[in-house]
Amino acid sequence: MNMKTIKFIFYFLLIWTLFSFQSSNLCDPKKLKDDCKPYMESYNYDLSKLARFTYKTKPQVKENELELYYGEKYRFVFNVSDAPIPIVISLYNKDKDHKNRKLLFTTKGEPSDKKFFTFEYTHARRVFIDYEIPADSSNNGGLVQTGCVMLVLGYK
Amino acid sequence: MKKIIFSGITLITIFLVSCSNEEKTSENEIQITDSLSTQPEEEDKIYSLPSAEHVAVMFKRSNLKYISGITTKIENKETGGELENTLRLGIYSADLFYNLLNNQWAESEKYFLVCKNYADKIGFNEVFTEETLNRLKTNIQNTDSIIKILSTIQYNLDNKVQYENKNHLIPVAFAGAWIESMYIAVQVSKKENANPQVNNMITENIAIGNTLLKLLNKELKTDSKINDIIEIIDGLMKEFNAMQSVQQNIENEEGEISLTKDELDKLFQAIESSHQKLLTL
Repeated sequence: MNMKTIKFIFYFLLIWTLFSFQSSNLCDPKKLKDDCKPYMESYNYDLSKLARFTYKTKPQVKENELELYYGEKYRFVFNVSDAPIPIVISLYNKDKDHKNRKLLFTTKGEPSDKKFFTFEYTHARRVFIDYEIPADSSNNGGLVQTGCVMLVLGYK
Repeated sequence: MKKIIFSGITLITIFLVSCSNEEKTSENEIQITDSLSTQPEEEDKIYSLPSAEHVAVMFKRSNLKYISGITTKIENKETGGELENTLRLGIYSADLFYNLLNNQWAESEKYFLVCKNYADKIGFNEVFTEETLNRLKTNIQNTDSIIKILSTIQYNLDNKVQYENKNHLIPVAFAGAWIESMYIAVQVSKKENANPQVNNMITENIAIGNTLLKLLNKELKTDSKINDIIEIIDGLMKEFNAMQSVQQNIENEEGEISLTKDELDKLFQAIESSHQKLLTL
């Protein structure tokens, strides 16, 4: 084996390993949900929803419309561990097309290294969760960055 | 050169170790070993429905009484594919929850086994296990414990659906469970000569149908057979949405919709008719 072949094998293995780590570890729904469990405390599991996204050159918003029972005690647990660039989560009483909607909760202003957010709410039949995904201005050599956020909802 | 060879060996070792690292699972959780069948899709608009178990719990909290023999008769149908079997799983899971939340062990066991049959048919073998059945039997007199166990079943079911990227099955199973739960409530309400709490809960639940329809329509591209379910739910929701009391409350997100006696009767008929149609799929 000459030096050129060895170098080729080395770089091939390096790229293969990096890709393998990325695909096996990022956005595993079970892991993301399991990690939310301690934050559920005495709440019963109701549902979970994984929102996947690709960072683009422009900011984007993804919306999750959630049906609730009025008067029921809910806990929302968000896991943003697999969002490489921090996102903002905001809860509203109306969808993003309504101008006069009421903000119920937001993670805006929270430390960027915080990975879990919880919020409790009772008086709504429906809430709209907006995931504000910032633009990816970093230069990753042309590599596209992806991420996700897991919501686990509990009720009492 | 030795450095390069050493680095290469190290990378291979790291990769192999990462691959062999099995997920640790607790006693009550299923271990997912299947691989992802398709690439998960990104969605701009996401819709989330309550779990079938939560629907049943809400009806129980509205003082829905137990009446024997009103649930759907057990049939182990061999016809149909994944979609039909998912729908049947939804229908029978509502019957299972109704019996469990009313401490009826003999009936619960029968419905558990029929749910297991349909779950196995769609490849969700690990969800309705013998261990879960035994836990339910031990705790049948303790409703809070039953709710905790049902939450675990739902958690495991969601794990499987999400991991295998079979999200289109969620609204299908929900449609079955939702219609069945409301059908049971209608039967109880009729026999009890109108229980206002139960009637309010039926009205509260029926409103969820609008979001269910959006979700089913979204999943239509995955399986065109969903259209049969959409038609049934759409007919029911058109009947409900056209009611005068509903129209008057359309902008009132927080207020309760109070239906007149005539409207309730019409709604009950529409639920019974939708239930009958769903059973023929």
